[in-house]
Amino acid sequence: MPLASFTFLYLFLPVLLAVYYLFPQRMRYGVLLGISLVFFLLGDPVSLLFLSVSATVDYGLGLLMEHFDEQNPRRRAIMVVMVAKNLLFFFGVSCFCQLHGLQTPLGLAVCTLLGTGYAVDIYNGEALYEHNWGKFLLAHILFMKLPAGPLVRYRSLCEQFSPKKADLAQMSESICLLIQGAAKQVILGVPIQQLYTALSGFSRSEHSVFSLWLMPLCAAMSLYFTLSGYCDMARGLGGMFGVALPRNFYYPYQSRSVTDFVGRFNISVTAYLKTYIYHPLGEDSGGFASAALNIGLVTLLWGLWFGFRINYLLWGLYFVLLILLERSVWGRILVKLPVFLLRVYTFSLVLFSFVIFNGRSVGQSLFFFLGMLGLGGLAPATSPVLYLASQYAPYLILAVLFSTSLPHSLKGALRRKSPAAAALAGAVCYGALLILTTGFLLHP
Amino acid sequence: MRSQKLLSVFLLLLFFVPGVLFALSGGWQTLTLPSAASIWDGTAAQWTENILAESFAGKDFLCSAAAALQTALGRNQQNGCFYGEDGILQNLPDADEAITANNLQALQAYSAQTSSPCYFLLSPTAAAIAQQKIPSLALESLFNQKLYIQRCYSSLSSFRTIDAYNGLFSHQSEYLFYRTDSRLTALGCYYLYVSAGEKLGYTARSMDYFSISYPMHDYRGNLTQQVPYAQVEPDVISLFHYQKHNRDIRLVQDPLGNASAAPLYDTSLLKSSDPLQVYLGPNRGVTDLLVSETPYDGRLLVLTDGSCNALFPLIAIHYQQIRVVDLRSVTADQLAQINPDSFDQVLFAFSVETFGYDSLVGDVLGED
Repeated sequence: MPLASFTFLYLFLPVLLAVYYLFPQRMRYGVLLGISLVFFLLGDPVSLLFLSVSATVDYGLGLLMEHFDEQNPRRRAIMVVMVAKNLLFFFGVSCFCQLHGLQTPLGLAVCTLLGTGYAVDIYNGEALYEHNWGKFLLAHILFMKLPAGPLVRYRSLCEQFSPKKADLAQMSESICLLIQGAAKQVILGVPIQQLYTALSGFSRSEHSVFSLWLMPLCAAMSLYFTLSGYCDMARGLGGMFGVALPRNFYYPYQSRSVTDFVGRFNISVTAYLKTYIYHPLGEDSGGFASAALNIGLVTLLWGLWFGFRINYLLWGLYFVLLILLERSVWGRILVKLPVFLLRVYTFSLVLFSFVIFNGRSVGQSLFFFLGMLGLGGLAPATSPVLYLASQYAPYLILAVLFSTSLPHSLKGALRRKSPAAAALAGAVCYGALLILTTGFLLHP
Repeated sequence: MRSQKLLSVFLLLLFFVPGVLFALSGGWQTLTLPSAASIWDGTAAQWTENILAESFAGKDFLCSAAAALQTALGRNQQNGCFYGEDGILQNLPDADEAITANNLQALQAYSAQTSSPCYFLLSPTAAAIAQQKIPSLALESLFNQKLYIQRCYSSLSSFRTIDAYNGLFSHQSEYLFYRTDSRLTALGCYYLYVSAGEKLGYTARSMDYFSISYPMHDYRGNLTQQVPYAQVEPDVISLFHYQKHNRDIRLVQDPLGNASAAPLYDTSLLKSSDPLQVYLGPNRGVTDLLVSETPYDGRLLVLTDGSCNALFPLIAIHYQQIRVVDLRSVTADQLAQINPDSFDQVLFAFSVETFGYDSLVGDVLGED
């Protein structure tokens, strides 16, 4: 069940809220577990079965690990088994699905990587052993983070399952995030994805320089609005059910360097990789070669988050190369440039990265890349592309605008000046946004 | 803080209200508990989604608002149709070569059975004629119907072909096609009548010979299903009545079976599900147009797809009898009873929309 659907927004959610808040505080995590189980069951019952078993095995192994003192080598063995099991499950199922053209099971990455992190955390003493199976399972299958994250550490989640009082004032922020996320996906993400699909259906002879520039722009915007829309919805829903989830995107397309971009795009994945790979490897304390290797590994995995394809691997490598170049070659020049130029520099390089990201093969990406530079013997623009662009231009302009922090800054300024006016404007804007999103769902 | 609480309550209500209205309207009764099998295969979620979407409170308002915004943002194409204030036009993809070849073969085979001269009228759709309504950047990628018609005509050397394209294109700014339907208006059919005259051997009457009535001003045709919320002005249905010489044209429905006579243009049919039935009555496969008080004694057999039914009452003034066979509903028995040799002329009248994409012609005539 997609979060941005009638069933979820107008049937599932109101029932969930009513049920959740009707129960006493101490029972609410149990209700949340029930809700998550139902959500998972309706979305992907097969995955629910496998991931519940996987989480239960982790829970049991965690309890087993607790029985051994810190010096006992069996603790390490159990941790290795837990990590290996989760990673094998994640990579194995992902690769299987990719090879057979199947959809990746709901919540696979989120659940297995949470289990991996839990194993490492309890081994290192950074998290407490979980004795409550229900809470452990809930942390794995918490419904709002299943579709697209964010990826969270176990300990930050389990701390939030304690009884909490509902706060109506705070809830407005959460509902606004939920509406904003749905609108991002439905009003901007879907049309831009449609444009991208239309462009990617062109044969090589039908392409033009313009279409090849338009494609990565669409891909970048579509990916951002879809993923950040999901994460905004997850954060909003989390807030409504008393669970604070971290943000996953922080205006990545207004980054001032490629390094900055990697830190703002899929933030929770970056943080996870830093916690479990970059920091244990010694960060950049071992000289340039060691730092390069560590950064390279983390960035490469960051790229592979989207799947196991040669193009995603190259996408990661492209960022590794740029980050290392920024660190060692032109980083000192960049800091002297005006902010506007830095943003243009970063956005251009990010746009080129999407040529790699979206290519079906290396050869196709190379064709796109050369074509963008006018080296493919293509026409500057053709009527079909110009027509398509004219159809979707307002969506692209809106997408570019809403991918920046400008709307947020305006909202903040209004709130500082007049909180009451900001609340009124918020009611009107978010109400209208929800109505429009519903309209777009009904009339796609 | 208080304003934040009020905002929360207001926004929460927006999520609850549709469900409450759904319940009050009895919508819950349509929802049943999903079976284990439907949950397992994922159809339960989709089924619930469809039920909720269908009966969503204020659906029309929400869809209209979304459609208006989408149009304001520059969208003018949906479900393969261009749309704007001045109408909906179907954007045809390239014609299916195999279907076309099969249809052409069927025409040739049918014409080989008769010694009567055969005529072929292939009429273009609005997208080829009303090009001024199509965004200029989209014109290049349009299917070239003119070329397609020429290609079909050239492969039927034994037929006399009627140039419908130029006859319509020279009047492209006029009301030739309905704004909400893919078929030709009575005026569009009038220009086909003029184009056909030279080949069929009659002198087309000028517009002065007809009185035109407008019995329906709110017709919404088949294209509104493709673009349901487009802000398009409804259509006007017009009827051409021949004024001179007291010529009387009567319709005989199903003349080969339970024949029933009716006056031309039975306006009670304007209230039916397809008001365009007013031109030839309900589609019963075979319909005769019988003309009395006429100096002409010609008999014309028409095999058609129903795309230009308003044409035949106009042509009828030059004949004693026209037998219209609608291939969409004619039965094999009815077709077998019709001897094309008993007619002076045989006219095949189809739209590109049918001929290039639908195997109807090949299927029906091929069986014969």
